[in-house]
Amino acid sequence: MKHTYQQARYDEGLLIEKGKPGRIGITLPPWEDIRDIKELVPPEMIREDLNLPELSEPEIVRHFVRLSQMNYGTDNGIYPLGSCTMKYNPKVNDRIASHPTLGRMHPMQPEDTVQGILKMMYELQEALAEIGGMGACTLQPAAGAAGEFTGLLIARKYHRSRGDTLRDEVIVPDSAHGTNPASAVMAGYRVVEIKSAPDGSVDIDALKEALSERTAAFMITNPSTLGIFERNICDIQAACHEAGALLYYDGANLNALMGKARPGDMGFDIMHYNLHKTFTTPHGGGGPGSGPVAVCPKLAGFLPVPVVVKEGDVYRLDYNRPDSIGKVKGYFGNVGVMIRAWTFIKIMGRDGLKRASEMAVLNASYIRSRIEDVYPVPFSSPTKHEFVASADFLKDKGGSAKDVAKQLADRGLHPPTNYFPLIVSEALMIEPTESETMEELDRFSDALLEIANCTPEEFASAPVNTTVSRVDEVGAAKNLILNWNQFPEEE
Amino acid sequence: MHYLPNHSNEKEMLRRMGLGSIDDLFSDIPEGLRVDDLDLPPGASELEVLREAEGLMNMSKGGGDMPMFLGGGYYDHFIPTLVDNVLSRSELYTSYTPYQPEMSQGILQALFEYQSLMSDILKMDAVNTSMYDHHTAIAEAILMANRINHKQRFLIPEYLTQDKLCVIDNYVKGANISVEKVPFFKEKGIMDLDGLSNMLGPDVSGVYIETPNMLGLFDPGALKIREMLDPRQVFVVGVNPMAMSISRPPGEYGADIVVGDAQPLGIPLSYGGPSTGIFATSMKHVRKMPGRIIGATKDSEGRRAFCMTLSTREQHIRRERATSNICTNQALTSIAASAYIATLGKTGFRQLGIQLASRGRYLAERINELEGFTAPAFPGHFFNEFPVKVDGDVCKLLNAAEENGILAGINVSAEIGSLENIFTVSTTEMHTQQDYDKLADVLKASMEVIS
Repeated sequence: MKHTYQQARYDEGLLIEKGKPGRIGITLPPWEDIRDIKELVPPEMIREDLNLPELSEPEIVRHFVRLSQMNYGTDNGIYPLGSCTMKYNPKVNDRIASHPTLGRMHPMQPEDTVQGILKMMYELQEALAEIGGMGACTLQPAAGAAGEFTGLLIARKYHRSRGDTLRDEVIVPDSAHGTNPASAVMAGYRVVEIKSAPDGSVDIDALKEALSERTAAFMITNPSTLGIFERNICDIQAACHEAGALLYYDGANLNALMGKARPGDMGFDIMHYNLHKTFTTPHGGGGPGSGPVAVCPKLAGFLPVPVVVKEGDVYRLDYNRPDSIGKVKGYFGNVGVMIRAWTFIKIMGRDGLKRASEMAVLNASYIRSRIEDVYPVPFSSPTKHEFVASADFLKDKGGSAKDVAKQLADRGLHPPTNYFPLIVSEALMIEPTESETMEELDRFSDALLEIANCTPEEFASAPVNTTVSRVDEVGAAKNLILNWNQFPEEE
Repeated sequence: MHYLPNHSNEKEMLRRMGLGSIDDLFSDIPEGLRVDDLDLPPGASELEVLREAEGLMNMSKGGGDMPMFLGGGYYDHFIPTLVDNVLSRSELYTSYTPYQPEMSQGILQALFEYQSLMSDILKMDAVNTSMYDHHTAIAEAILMANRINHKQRFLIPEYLTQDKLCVIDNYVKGANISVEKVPFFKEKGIMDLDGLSNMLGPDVSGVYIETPNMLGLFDPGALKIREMLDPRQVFVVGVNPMAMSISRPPGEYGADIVVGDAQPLGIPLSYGGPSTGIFATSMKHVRKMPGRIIGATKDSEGRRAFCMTLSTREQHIRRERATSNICTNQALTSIAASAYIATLGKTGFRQLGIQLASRGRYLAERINELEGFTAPAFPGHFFNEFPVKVDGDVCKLLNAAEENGILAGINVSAEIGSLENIFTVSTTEMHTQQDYDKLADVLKASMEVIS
C-alpha cells in the first residue's frame, strides 16, 4: 500500500568509493620542525601503506547529511520501542554538554581545576539517589548492562564480606531483559530462571522455591517487562531478604515511577538507572549511554572508586574506600552523558519529573485503550509506561509481528519492540513515552488498526517507502561482509 | 512542562479512556509505597539552567584555559568543525540501536564505514561498533581469549595504569582468570621478552602488550610475540589509533585481537568519557567477539543494504550464554572517529602522525636541555608522549608547575612503584610555540623551587 510517507533514498556510496586522489578535508596547523620518519619510529615498525579515503570537506558533509536523512530518530517522530524509553532529547542538554571547557577537560586534571564538573556530578548522584529512594550512588558504569554488572559485583563483595561464600546463584524471571542473565554470568554467577505467573507478574511460589542459601540476588524490573506493577513486591522483598538474598532493581522501566514510588521504599537493595532512557540523553544509534548504580545505606562502602564527595564547599574524588569493589570503567564514566541528565533534572525539578512519569503512563494506557479490542493484551493488569499486545491473530491472515513493524515503517512510524518478551506470542511491546502528542498517539493507533486488515500480499511486500525494502538479514549472517574490502568481486 | 505536550489535554484523554483522574492509572501501586514529593528543587527555566551551567563550567578549567601536557591515552587534539556538525544531525543521534534496518540505513552505513576505516587502520578483518573504552576492551579481550582456548592464565604488561588494572580485575573475576604481569626492562621501559618467555606455558590463554605503551614508547617486542605463542594462544595488542599513521598495524604482525581508545580521533575529552573502545579481531575468531557488528547485504530488490549481524552472540538472544552483556555501546563516538578519519584522509592522517611525533622529539630535546631533567628517560622511540626523569621529587615538581599555571604531565611513579621520579609529557597540534616555551620555563623554575 502506498502512503504519503517516503524516506530519503540516495544512491550514496561508501566513503572509500567517493573522492579522488589528492583531496583532503583539512588544512593542518603548521609545524616546521618535521623529522624523518626513521628518527621517529623503530625501523622494523615503520608503516608502509595506508589505505584511506581522500575527500574534501564539502563531500564529507554531504555524505553524512545524506546518511542522516536515510535514518529515523526521535526527532523524526514516534519511536515506541518497549523498554527503550525513546523520549524527546531536549536540545539544551546538548548545548551544555558541548561546552568547550568540558570538551578539553582531561580526566587526570587535579581536583581543584574541575570543581564545577564535580559539583554537577555530585548533584546528579544525589538527585538519582533521591529519585530511587536509595542511600548512595555511583555514576561510573557506562550503560545499563554495565550497571547490572557493577551491582552484582557489589552483591558478591557484600556476601563475601560477611563470610557468606556459598551464594553463587542469581535468580531472574523468564521475562527479564537479556542483559540480566548475561551480566550475572559475567559477575561469576549461575543463572536460575523462574517462570512468570499467568498475569505476567513474579510467581511468588516459584520464587520461594528457587531461593536458597545459594541465592546472591534476585533481579527484576518493576513495572515488569509487560508494563505491570508488581503487586506482590512487599512479599517478594520479604522472601528475598529472609533467604539472605539481595533484591536488584533493573532501572530500564523507571520512567513509570518518578515521583510516584521509589525502589528503595519497596525494599530494593541495589538498582541501576539508564540516563539514556529515563533522563533524556540521546541513544546515539546505540550509545553512548550511562548506567549509574545506587545502593541502600548498608552497601554504600562497596561502590566503585572514586566517589564524588562534598567537604564544605569543596568537591573531591574519594579513593580511600577500603570495601570498594574497585573500578568498572575508565576514569569516571561517561561524563558528557551525565551533564545532559543533570540538565534535564534541573529543568524538570520534582514536579516535572513526577508529571513526566504520569504522562508516560497516560500515553501508554491511551494507546492500549485504542487498540486492545483488535490486538489482545494478554494480561488484564493496568498498564504503566508500556504494555505488550499480541499480533498472534494475524497468523491466520498471513501476517506477523514483524509484518506489522514493516507496515508501520511504511507509514513513517517507528515500530514497537517485536518478539520480546518471549512469553507473549507475536509480541508488540509498546512504550510511547511522555513526549508524544495525543494526535501522534491517535495516528499510531489508527495505523495499527488499519494494518490489522492488510492482505497477505500487502504484508509480504512491505516496506516500500523506506530507504530500502526488506533487508536480507539471513544472507548477511551467511555471507559475512564486515568491511568494504570484503565485498565480492562483481560489486 | 514544555517537554510534555499532553500536560494540558490530560482530561480529554482520560475521558476518552473512561477514567476520571490520573491517579486511577496508579491505583495498582500499594498505598504504603506511594510518595508525595521528592526532596528535589523545583524546576527551572532553560535560561536559568544555562546560566547555572555556565557558572559551573567557569569554575572549571580545560586545555583552553592553561597549557596542558596530560596524555595517558586521552589527548587534547583539534576537532575539525565538521565532526561536530556530523554529530549534531539529530536523525542520527536520536536514533536507537538499528533493530529496524529498513529505516535505519544511515546509521548502519555510518557504522559499517567506521568498521571499515578501523579495519584498514589496524589491518584487522572484523571490528565491532564499539566497547565502552580502552579499559573494558582489554578486559573483554581477556574474556574472549578464555572463550577461544579455555585456559585460565593471561599475561599483561607490568607497566599498565592502575585505572586499567582495576577494571580488568573486576571483569575477569567471573571467569576465574588469573592475570599475571610480564616484567619490563627497568632501563628500557619496554617489555622483557625473556621474562615473558619464562612465564609462558600450556596453561597460558594469551598475552597483552601495548605499543605505544604506558610511557609513550613504541615497543618493538610486539613484533616477536606471535612466534613465541602456540597457535591456540591469543595475542592481544593495545594501540593509540593515531600512532597507526606511522607505525605498523598489529594485523601485520599476527595480532588475534586489537584494542584501543578512539578518543584521539575527533572525540572530545569530556573529562574521560564518552569515547569509543576499539575492538578488532580476525574472521577466524569473529563468532567469539563481544559487541555489535554491522554487515552488508541486499534488500529484496537487490540493492546494497546494511543490518546488524551475528546477533546470535548477543545478550538479547543468547542471554546467559552471550559473549558479553554489552547492549548500549558508544556508537555515536565511533561515527565521530569515522568523520574525523575521513577528514584527515590518507595524506592528512600520515602528515599529522609525523607532525605529532616530530613535536614530541622537539619537546623532549627542549626538556632534556634543562638542568635536572632527562628526556626521554629511556632510549627508545616514542609517538607524542614520552617519559621524563627528574632529579628530585616528581610529585613536588608537578605541584610546583601547577602553581605556575601548567599541567606538565602525569606522575607515572605514583602508579608503578619501580619507576622512580618519572612523569610522562604528551603533546598535540593544539600546543603553540609559546606553550612549549612556557613549559620549559616553568619546569626550570619548578626544579629550582624543589631543589
